[in-house]
Amino acid sequence: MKDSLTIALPKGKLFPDALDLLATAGLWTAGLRADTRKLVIEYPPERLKYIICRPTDIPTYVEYGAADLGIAGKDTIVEQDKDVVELVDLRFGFCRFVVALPEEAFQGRDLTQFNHGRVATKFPRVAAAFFREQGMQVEVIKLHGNIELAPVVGLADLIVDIVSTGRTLRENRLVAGAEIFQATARLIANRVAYRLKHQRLQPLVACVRELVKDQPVR
Amino acid sequence: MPEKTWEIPPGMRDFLPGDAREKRALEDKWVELFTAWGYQEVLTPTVEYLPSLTVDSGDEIRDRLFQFFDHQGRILALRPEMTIPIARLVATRLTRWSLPLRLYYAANVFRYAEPQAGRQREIFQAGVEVIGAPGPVADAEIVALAVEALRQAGLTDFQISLGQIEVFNGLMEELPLAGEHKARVRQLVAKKDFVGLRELLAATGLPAAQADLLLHLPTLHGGPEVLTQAACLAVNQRAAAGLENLSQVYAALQAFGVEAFVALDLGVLRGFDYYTGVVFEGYTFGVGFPICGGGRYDRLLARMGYDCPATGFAIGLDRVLLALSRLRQPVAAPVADVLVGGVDLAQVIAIARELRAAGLVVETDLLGRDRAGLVAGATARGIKTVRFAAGAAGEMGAE
Repeated sequence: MKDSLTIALPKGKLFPDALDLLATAGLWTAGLRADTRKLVIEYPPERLKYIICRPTDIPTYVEYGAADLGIAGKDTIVEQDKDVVELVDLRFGFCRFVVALPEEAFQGRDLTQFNHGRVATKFPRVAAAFFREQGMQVEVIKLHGNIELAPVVGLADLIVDIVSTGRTLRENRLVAGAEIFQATARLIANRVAYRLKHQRLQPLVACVRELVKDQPVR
Repeated sequence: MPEKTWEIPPGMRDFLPGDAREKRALEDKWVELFTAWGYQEVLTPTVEYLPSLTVDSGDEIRDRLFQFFDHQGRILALRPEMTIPIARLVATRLTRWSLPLRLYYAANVFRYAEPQAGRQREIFQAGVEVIGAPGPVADAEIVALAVEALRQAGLTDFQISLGQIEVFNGLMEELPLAGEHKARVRQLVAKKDFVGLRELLAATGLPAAQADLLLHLPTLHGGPEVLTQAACLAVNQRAAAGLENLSQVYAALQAFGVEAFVALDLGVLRGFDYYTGVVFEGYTFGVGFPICGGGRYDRLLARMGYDCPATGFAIGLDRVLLALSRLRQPVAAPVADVLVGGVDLAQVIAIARELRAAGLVVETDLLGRDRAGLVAGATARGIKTVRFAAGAAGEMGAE
């Protein structure tokens, strides 16, 4: 078991970049490109296994040790506060955590006008921590998608969401009132695998770190 | 409305007969092992006053206590671990005993963690503490005993990662960083957030050579060659002494013959609470969390008025049981050897007593069954032998 390796990869927009990176690092990835419907893909010659799962589930797979390594957005890692080893900033999957609100409500004013207001988000932990630091009390409403809808229909005054291009905000006539932090994809490891499989992980991690070192953030 | 589920609080669990048997068997093995190595059992109260339980413990533990008030309004808490209570016991009750003291325990501890990822709120632990032995041989004995305990539990594929916290502390002393930055470095290292650590070190403008030393530390892992590779970390007396101590402990572990189970790993830091020397964690495949941990804590007893070095470890019983359950099929529940029933109660009891004295496990019938009913009951339970006491009226026989 010591030389086997399981990597959890996120479906969706991080997937192609993750794949390219692993391929450049010398890992077998051919089978991942061919069939996108399989969730577990094994490559016995290298005792390598990939798990393809939802981006927000990656930290969970890694924390429990179902996967030794994973690629997950810093946004997900921060929100879930899992006990994992965060190894490398992969510099892709860039996004910003912002507080957004309708243009007409904002008009460049201070967010504190929304003290005791309602905040809709997929990231209640990040949202609560941000407003606490601002000295504001807000009611955080957890939603599971299409957060931008909440202020449009009067469910919430503000939203906390991740933004990569800003198009969704513009289409809903929302503006970013404050930036909370910026996030990129990270290479994470299970804390036990990080020690038990050190011989196999360390060269891979060093290689990945070297590969992304001078890449622009994107 | 009836209580529809009779829930138990999150993070607590029941042990059904099979689980309870496995737990008891494992505990018994460890008790026998610790006893054979000259350790004596101690017990401390489940509930203590808050300050007694939080001497020198880190914030992480303090935030996770189950607390409540007694009738005088004093704050009580459930013990979150056993090392501090045993230190209190030694410092207040056993100061006249000759050293070294070798103590062991098997007890439940309580932590108010989010019940997820192998974190129960009631945790069963077994462990040992050696009080009054400052040298590397005591630390090696602790590690060797942990290895032996895991081996006797039935684990074969496990590893103890052994580090020395003074190497990290020595490095930290040399860093020209402001207090709050140092605190942040410790936080990030404890969280194993190496990306955040890199960013922080870059942002503070620390010279690359020094930042690299700190980032290099968690990558040092392996056999005795690590001691050579780590020579560059001996930046001051403190770090050098830490490395020297680590190599002495490793040499002693070779004498114990357990070095195959031990990897040197300077990234093992185990939080930043009471540890002062070697620290270690045990891991096994298939369990994503450490199964045991320990180290040297030379200043804890002094905090309680008895200046005395100490070292020890705790093993998580639940986690070892979890690892074992992944390795092997569940063992079938043992059944009685004989079921005794019949019309003459005195005779039933006499037969049972005789068979038990002969070393058999004997159940007696409590349901007043006739011979056929008794046989059917025994067959259903898998009990091989039935004895029916028919009294003076009939014969008595095995079927």
